[in-house]
This record gives sequence, C-alpha cells and structure tokens, in this order.
Amino acid sequence: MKVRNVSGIGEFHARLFSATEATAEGGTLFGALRKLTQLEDPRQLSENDTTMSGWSPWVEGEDDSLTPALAGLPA
Amino acid sequence: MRFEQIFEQIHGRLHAMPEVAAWADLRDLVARTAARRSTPVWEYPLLACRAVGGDEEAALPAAAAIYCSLAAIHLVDDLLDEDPRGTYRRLGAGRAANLALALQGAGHRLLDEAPAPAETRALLQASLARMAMATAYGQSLDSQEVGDEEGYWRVVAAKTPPLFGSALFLGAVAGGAPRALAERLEEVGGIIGRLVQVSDDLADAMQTPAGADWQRPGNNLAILYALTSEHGEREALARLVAQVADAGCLERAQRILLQCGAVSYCAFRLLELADQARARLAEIPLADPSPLTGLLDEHLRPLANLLRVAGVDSPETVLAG
Repeated sequence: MKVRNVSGIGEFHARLFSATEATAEGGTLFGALRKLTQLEDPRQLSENDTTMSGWSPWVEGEDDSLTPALAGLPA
Repeated sequence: MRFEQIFEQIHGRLHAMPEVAAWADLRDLVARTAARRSTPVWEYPLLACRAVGGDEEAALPAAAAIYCSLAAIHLVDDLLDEDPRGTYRRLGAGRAANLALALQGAGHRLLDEAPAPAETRALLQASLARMAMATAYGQSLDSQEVGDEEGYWRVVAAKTPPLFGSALFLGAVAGGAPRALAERLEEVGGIIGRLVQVSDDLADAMQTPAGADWQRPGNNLAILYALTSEHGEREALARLVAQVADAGCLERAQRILLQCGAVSYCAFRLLELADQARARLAEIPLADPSPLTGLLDEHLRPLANLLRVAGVDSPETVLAG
C-alpha cells in the first residue's frame, strides 16, 4: 500500500478536489476518496459496517441490540 | 482461543478476588461485556504472545489486566465526555469512579499471577503502571478542546497509544520475548492506537443519535476537518454543531462531513497509519507475524466496506496501493 504524503487538512483538501488527483473512475486512491464525497445519505454508512470503534467493551443503552451480553458465565 | 473462552478466563480470574465476588456493581459491569465486530484490545496480548512464539496461556493474566484497564479507562472517559450512554448514568459519578479505581488495582493484581519470574512480572507491572499514568494524562488533555490539527494529533498521541502499545508489550514479554523486541511491538501498538482513535472519531461523528464528540468538535478529526478546511458549507456546519440533538440537523451535519471531504480525510489517515504499522511490523523478527498482520487487515475491513458503499469497484486494490 502506498499512501501519498499529505501534510495536513488544507493540503489534503486542495488535492482531494483538484481535477488531476481525483479521477471519476475511483481507480486511484484520491479518486476513491473523492467518491466518498459524493455519498448523499449518511445512513448508508451505519447500515454497511463501515466504521469500527475500538474502545467500548460494553453493551450499554442504545447498543443493547448489537450483541447479547455474555450471560450464563459462572458467577 | 475464541472470545467466549478468553472472556471466561478473564471472568474467572476476576471473580476469584473476594472483593469482586462481593461487589454487585462490579460483577454487573463485567457481565455486560459483549462481543463486538472487532478484536477487543484485551486480546492483543494473546496475539503478541503468539507472534513471538509463546504459548498464549502465558498471556492470559496480561489479557485480564488489559481488560481491567480498558474498563477503568472507559468508565472515566464516559464521565469526562458526559457520554449519555455511560455507566455513570446508571450508577452515579462517584460509584462509577470508584469502580474504575478498583479495576485499575485489579489489573495489577492479575498481572502478579503471570507464570513468570519476578523480574519479568516487575517489567509487566511497570508497563501497566506507565500506561495508566500516560492514559490519564492524555484523557486530561482531551478534556480540553483543541482548535487545530496539530493539537488534535498531540492529544491523540497522548491518549490512545499507551493502552494499545502496552497490550502488545505485555503479551510479547509474557510470551518470552526480549524487552527490546517487546518495545518494538509496543511502537506498533501505538500506531494501531492512533488508527483506532481515528476510526473511533469517524464512528462517533457518523452515529445516530449524535455522539458525545459533537460537544467538543475540535477533538474529533472528521468534525475538525469540516470546521477548518475551505468549503462552502463551513459556516452552516458551525451553526449545526450546537443543534445536532435534532435528528434533521444531525443528518445535515453528517452530510456536510461526507461532502466536504472530512470522511475522506479520516479514511486517508487510516490508510497512512495502517501503512506505517505494516512497515514497522515487517522489520521485526517474529516467529509468526500473522496474528498481527491479521489484526491490521481487520482494522482495514470497514474501510473497504466504506469505499464499496461509495461505489468503488475493487476497494482492496485501492487499499493495496
């Protein structure tokens, strides 16, 4: 994997939206990243397993539907 | 070893402590642990142990100690973030903070059970203590809002890498690796910690209802990008930040994150960090690198899904350069 060096938000933003970096086909890294900017509905992300949080070990509140807690283990 | 088997081991070790057996809040907290899509950080010691050629049974005390540390950090993180889903909402701030103290102590007690010479156990204890101190400092930095990207990376470097670094260090030492090699794995863990933080930012910014990060927008890379880069909806987003409790406002704000390139930037940084981790890993002489290269692949899988949703035909090709 070769990620092209971009030093910060400003430079990345300029390159992402430049005609030379972002091809319509999405076959290059910046082309693919540009395609992300064309997504209309944010709900598409949560419905398609597109992010992974590494922090929370618990089922709490709204998360109760994700997976059952480990009931039945010896107390 | 599967999640349930590992957790049963951790659970058993914790419940062997008389305080845990007698403490309903603590038992209840442990019982609420659940399997997630991703490998939990408390399994990292087992992966590192296998990677250095050790028997993963030897790393179970380290896994249990990291479980306790993560639980303690998470309890306090929710308090600092005022996360509406935090355990403190159920128990109250004082009881939640006291549980965190207990878990930190439990982690050290569990490490003392490692089947290793006293000198090795001292190394493990020192790593866990360093991690706890460094993480608390990082959390303190994170409780103040940062306003620029340099500040963001400074806070991220202080907050998340110590836990992930220590998890790999402990596993490698428990597996019999020399300290110098374990320290190199600790560096890889630090990079994975940054990667997890960016992934966490993206998840928090895009979740519904609004995640806690909207309360300190400069500390979330996606929201920070959208508030600082040059695009036509920056002012609109600045107004929406305070209104994301409303579902319609949140959806408009999240649409701006997508369209201005903020989500793309997080994806770019995730790729960059994965690339760094792979390069470091390739330089370390390991008996079997596959548990750790597999871990990196796992971290990139949601990103491949993200690109697929965006219409990229073969995301794996893009991710592979």
